[in-house]
Amino acid sequence: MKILIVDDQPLFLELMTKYLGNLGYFDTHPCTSGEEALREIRKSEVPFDCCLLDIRMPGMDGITLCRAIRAEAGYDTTPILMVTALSDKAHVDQAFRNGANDYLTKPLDSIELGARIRMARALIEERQSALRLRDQMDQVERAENTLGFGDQITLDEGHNTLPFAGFENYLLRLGPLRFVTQAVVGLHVSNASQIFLQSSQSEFVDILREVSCAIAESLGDSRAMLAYAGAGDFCVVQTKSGRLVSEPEEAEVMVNDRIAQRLAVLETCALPMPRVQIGAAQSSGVFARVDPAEMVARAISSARGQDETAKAARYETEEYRHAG
Amino acid sequence: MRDDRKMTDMPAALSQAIAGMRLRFIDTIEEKILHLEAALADLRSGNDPIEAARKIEMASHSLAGLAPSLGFADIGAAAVTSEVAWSKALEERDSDPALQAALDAVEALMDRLEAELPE
Repeated sequence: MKILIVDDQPLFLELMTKYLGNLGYFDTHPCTSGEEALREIRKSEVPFDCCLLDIRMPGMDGITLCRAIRAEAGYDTTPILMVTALSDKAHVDQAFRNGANDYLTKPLDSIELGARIRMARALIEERQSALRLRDQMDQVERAENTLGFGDQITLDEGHNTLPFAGFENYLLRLGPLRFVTQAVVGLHVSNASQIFLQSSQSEFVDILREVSCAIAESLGDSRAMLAYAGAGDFCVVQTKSGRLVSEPEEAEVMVNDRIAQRLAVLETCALPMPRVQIGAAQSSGVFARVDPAEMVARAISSARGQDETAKAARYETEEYRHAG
Repeated sequence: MRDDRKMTDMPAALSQAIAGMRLRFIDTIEEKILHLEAALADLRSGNDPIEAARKIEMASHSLAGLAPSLGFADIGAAAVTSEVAWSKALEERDSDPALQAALDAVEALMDRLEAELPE
């Protein structure tokens, strides 16, 4: 794994390099500024697999650098981890909105660093899966057995959409005080399996993308985050005063109306119109903190309305694979 | 006071490397104190006090991340306090209490740094 590390303090770079070496990652490339990091990226023939960026640096700060890296060819999904002494939420949000996947706070801890790097590896695997999917979309007719019904496709439309692996991680990184002000809401496309079976892979992905946009437009909250969990399930995290949390019935009508507007063309190609149902919001208390992964699972389960048939379909994805 | 607890869980080569980095950090302490004192002098003389305050905030920020990562937990804690205080002083530029709190915090940070200097 080829790792770029950027921090204005040489001693911290050295420490990070030693920790990573101790974890078995030796292909590390330290840079002391954002400008140097961009030069390194541009001259590198083999792209970096992962970037670790300090936020506060003289000259180009880490958030600007993160955005610049995302704009480089081939770096749209590279895991970017922000490393900083600042743990306040404003910087976390800003980093995520500028393309960061994860957040690591100083002082540096070898165990936490190892966990975050493993998360980055998971994102790389997801990226490779997404790249395979993109190739298939270019060559739909030749595609074979790649897109499964349960695949957690990254629907990269807009700044509010995260890969599903990044979504759970985003919740984990909210911090306890922010976490209790947020709720996770599941949205389930009740006829997703039918659409999957009747459409081509590219059509299915396009439909999901439109559903994702319809949901994003209906949130009424630019700070909410959205991810596709596979099998017709979407997750949204927004504040407890957000529309999906406080007015789920109205939100459901709005989402389905917007889907109907965006996907009016489906009538002409005899594909079913997606129908979205919204589940009950799941949140955590101050004193009884719920595991974020459990919150997401509950939110999805609620949106599915405990439909056991559909639930089984989610986990038996092998039976729902496109044969190309 | 140094926090050596984590060192015991590390492989010997890593512990040794970090021990070397700690010594190099200690070697830079005097320079860091001088940097903070110079910025304080600029602040007190009215020579671009905003820039001087930013320098102190940035220096505190740098120490807040690096020092505890190398096991200097007390310096890290003092640096965090100083960073927050200077950030507040920069936000509330007309507030004397905020400035006084920031000055106290950076003095405490310099005391912590001096405590690590070799005798």
